Amino acid sequence: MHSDERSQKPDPESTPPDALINLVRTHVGRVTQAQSRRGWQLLQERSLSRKPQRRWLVGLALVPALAALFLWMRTPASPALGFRITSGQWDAGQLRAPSATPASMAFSDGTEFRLAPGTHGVLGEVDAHGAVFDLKQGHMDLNVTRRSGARWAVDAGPFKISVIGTRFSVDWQEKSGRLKVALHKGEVHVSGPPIAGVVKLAVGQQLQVDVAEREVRIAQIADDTKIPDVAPDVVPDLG
Amino acid sequence: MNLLTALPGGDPDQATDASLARALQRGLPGAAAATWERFYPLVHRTLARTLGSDDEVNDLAQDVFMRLFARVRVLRDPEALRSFVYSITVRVIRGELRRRWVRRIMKPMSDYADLSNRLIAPVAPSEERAALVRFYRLLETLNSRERTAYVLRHLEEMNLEETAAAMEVSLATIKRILARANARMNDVLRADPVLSGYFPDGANPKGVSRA
Repeated sequence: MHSDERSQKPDPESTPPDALINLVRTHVGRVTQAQSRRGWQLLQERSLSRKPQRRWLVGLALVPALAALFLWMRTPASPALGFRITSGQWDAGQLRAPSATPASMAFSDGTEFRLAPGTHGVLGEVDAHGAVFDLKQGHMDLNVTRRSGARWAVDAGPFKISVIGTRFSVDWQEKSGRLKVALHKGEVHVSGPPIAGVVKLAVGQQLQVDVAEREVRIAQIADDTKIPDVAPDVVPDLG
Repeated sequence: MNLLTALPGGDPDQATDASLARALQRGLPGAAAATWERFYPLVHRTLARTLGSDDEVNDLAQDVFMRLFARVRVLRDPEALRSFVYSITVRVIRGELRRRWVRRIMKPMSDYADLSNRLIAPVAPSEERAALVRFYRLLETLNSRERTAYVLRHLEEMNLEETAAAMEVSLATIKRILARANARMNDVLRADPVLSGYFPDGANPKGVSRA
């Protein structure tokens, strides 16, 4: 009785036949140098969104009880924007402008990013509505095409600049913790410490934030020297 | 891939996993390319051997690397880069198996119709090709955890500790998962008229144990 029970208990170290395992190892999953190179090129070219995977066909037929399963599948509602790197160094999602020349990228909706020499950042999520760019260091100009439902954002250190369709520039100095956002056209919202809530910049205004000094100031772009201490709609969190 | 001079030591082939991880974390030029070159074969092989279908292996490999590049900053122990790559690969595999499971409910037999043409090296003789197709059909009898553990342990030759780490479970749990997977696979392999021939003549496969 006990002996039978022991014989039926699975042995964690029992293995399939070596000959079969060797067969799989020999013939499945081999990679050539050409495949690797091609894969790397695709990774660099790839828009960060996945191709539509025809999952909507499955979704149409699913009963409501299975709907929760589709949360895993993250079906894109529509194809993501395409983009191309027009200048600069592109390395697995990171765009870097060399020390002497600028970098730029263009999206399929007409939006353009231009990075000043020495600037670098990481392109985050790209979807049908826009993209998130994580500005690591330096200065960038953005010309965002205004359209319904557009969602663009720039992350700069602890700050988030939400874009409504506009032309503006962002300058982030990581070491000193200083942010400048200059708005030339449209509307942007800026959040992040020491700003409590959101700063809404008007056309022609420039926001300056010094994280270390916990200082938030808004100036006219054309006249940096005469700036109010704090804009009326900004409530700095100085606590 | 000639962007690697910024790596410690200058030569990506000589760089340790830890120095590669640190280079990635610092965003050094060339670090991503060097990481791809080092780990792409591992990632591709593991995906192909686990999923048994080549349809999306390339896309999924890119998913693995996109996640790796996005998350490498949270890697506390740079020495553990290889394990980190494996754990991301396992998550991608399990996500794909879940999606396939849903697809299969709606469209049975959608994944394996062209397996032999695309997955298996073209030099494989036809009888071996047929055996591999049967093997991957039988692997379908395992759930996603069992299947992933089975492939890591037997096809990727990981030890139990490495398999547990890649699966992000305890040693005791991985032993239970593998015990079920081994028993189920041996049962179906023995019952298969072709694959049963791969067992040693007349031997009980449970008697074959890893050294």
